[in-house]
Formats: sequence, structure tokens, C-alpha cells
Amino acid sequence: MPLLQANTQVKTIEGHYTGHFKAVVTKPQNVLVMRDVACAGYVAGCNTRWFALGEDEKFSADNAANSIQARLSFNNDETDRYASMLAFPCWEGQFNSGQLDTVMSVTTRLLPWEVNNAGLHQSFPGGNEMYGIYNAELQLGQVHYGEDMKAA
Amino acid sequence: MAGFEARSFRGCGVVTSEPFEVSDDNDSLQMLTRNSQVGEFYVMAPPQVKPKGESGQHTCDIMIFDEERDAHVRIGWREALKATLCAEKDEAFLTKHGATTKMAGGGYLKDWAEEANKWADYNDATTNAYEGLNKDVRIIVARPFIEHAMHNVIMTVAGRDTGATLFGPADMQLSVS
Repeated sequence: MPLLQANTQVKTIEGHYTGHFKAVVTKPQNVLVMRDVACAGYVAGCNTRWFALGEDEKFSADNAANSIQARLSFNNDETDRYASMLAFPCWEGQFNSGQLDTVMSVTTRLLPWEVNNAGLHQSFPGGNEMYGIYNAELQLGQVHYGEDMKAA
Repeated sequence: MAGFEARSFRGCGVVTSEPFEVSDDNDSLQMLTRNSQVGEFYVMAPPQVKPKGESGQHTCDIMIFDEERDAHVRIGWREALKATLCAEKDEAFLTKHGATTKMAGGGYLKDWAEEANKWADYNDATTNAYEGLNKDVRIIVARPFIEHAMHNVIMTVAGRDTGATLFGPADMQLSVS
């Protein structure tokens, strides 16, 4: 609603305009939304700093949990310095079993083929039991907080 | 069809979306640009056959790309082991979970930590004894939140068949003091 104002002391005219517009698609098959086709710039997350490594040069679960939270919330406005990396123990046997191959989930979300399998994080390095302890120690559940579910 | 800027791409007219000015206090809003995240992981593995030469130094390390430095960076086995929180026997994480947590595809977490530490010594050239080391030890290095600003495109068939922009009632008032 554009606004135009008048005031003789400052030599202006006042006006109000209201309009209603809406783009309507009547044949959705004619429309193709292509997401993420070109990079417009780097934001964060692709350096080689560990989440678990604190300013005191020590590795700890608390450091990791805090650093993940800071990274996802962009808390460090002044330094713009965030960590990017996590490390997990794993045995070769997990690859041979097909549970961990080309994709894994480090959050509360399950992979599509894990949903029908008792809801276990079998793709997580070390398996479901390891997911349980890392989830609790690193607070991996916080990863999806505040996520826009419509932005998939 | 030609776009507003008389550009085309492979036979399609291109119309560039202009950013909306939301207010003086906020950045303009570009509807077709958003931040997107992807994740990736690397598998660190010790040498599966005995390396030639006397020393096994750096044979467990990997090089990965650091986008902020625009360079490849070496990730050392011991450094990655520390990041798993299982490097030291008295590490709180390992003390708490090591003996009770059975890992998929292998033994308990404390067994893994013991074997991974042996590889750390071999990788640092503290010892050259290759035989007897467990070659099934792995470290997963993950970068789960790689984020970029990304442009998006909406491609449509031109014409009324696809849709239309509807105009509702409009109202204008003008006054002069």
C-alpha cells in the first residue's frame, strides 16, 4: 500500500493507494522449480576446525555441543569464526554390513530405509548404540531446532 | 520470448527477479536466493598393506579442502582421534561409555579406542611395528553443516495456459492541504 503525504509547510502531497495482486498457476505441470542451481557465496561450515576443540585447545563434549549451537545460531557475530567438523569411531565391519555406505544421519532424523527398521540409527558410525551416547553428549537433537519445515 | 533484460538461456527467456526492499532497517529480500546446507563425511582408514620404507608416518592422514583457506589441509589421525573424545584412557567420555557401548561391526568402544591409539603411535612414527595392528579401525570425519547462499530458478511455459496475475479492487485517495 503506497503512501503519498501532503504538508504545505514542507510542500508535500498526501495520497493512499491500495491494490490487490496475486499470481495464480492454473497448470502446475507447466512450472518447474529448480532449487540451488547456482552458488551465490559461501556462508559457513566448510573449514577444518573441530566442533569439539575449545578455545582452551582441549577436546570435550561440552565444547562440541556449544560450538554446534553457536554455528547453527550464528552466535559469534564479532569473529564470524565457527567450527565445521565432527569425528566418530567406526569399525570396517559396519561398511561390510551395508549399514553405513554412502549416506548417514547425525541428527534425530532417520534415513528413509531406517524408518521401517525399528527406527534405529543403523547408519550412524558405530551404530544405534553409539548414536545414543553421542546424541546425549553433543546434543545432536538441537540441530533441527527452529527449522523451516516448508523450506525443503 | 525475451526477458526484461533481453537475455536468454538455451532458448528460454530469462527474467531476473529483483530484490524487495523490506524496510530501511533490514536487508532487501531476494525471493529466489536462500541459504542451503549440505553435509559430507570422509572415512579415515589406516594402511591396509604395510607401507614401504621404515616409517609409517602420516599413512593414516587425509587431506580435505578448506573452503575458508581455499586450500587442502591435512587431517592427522591423532587429531581426529582426539575429536572422537576417545583419545585418552582417562577421557571422561571414554570412561563413561567405553566398556558398556558395543559398536556395530566390531567390539566395544574401549577396544576401538585402544586399537586407534596404536595406529596413532604408528602414524606419528613413535613405533614402526605394523604387524599386530587392527586394520579394521576407522574414523569418520563429518562436516554436516556446509552452508552456501544459493540461487534458484523457476522455469515456466509462457502464456495464459500456465496461469495469470490477478488484479483485485484498487483504491486511491489524494488530498492537498
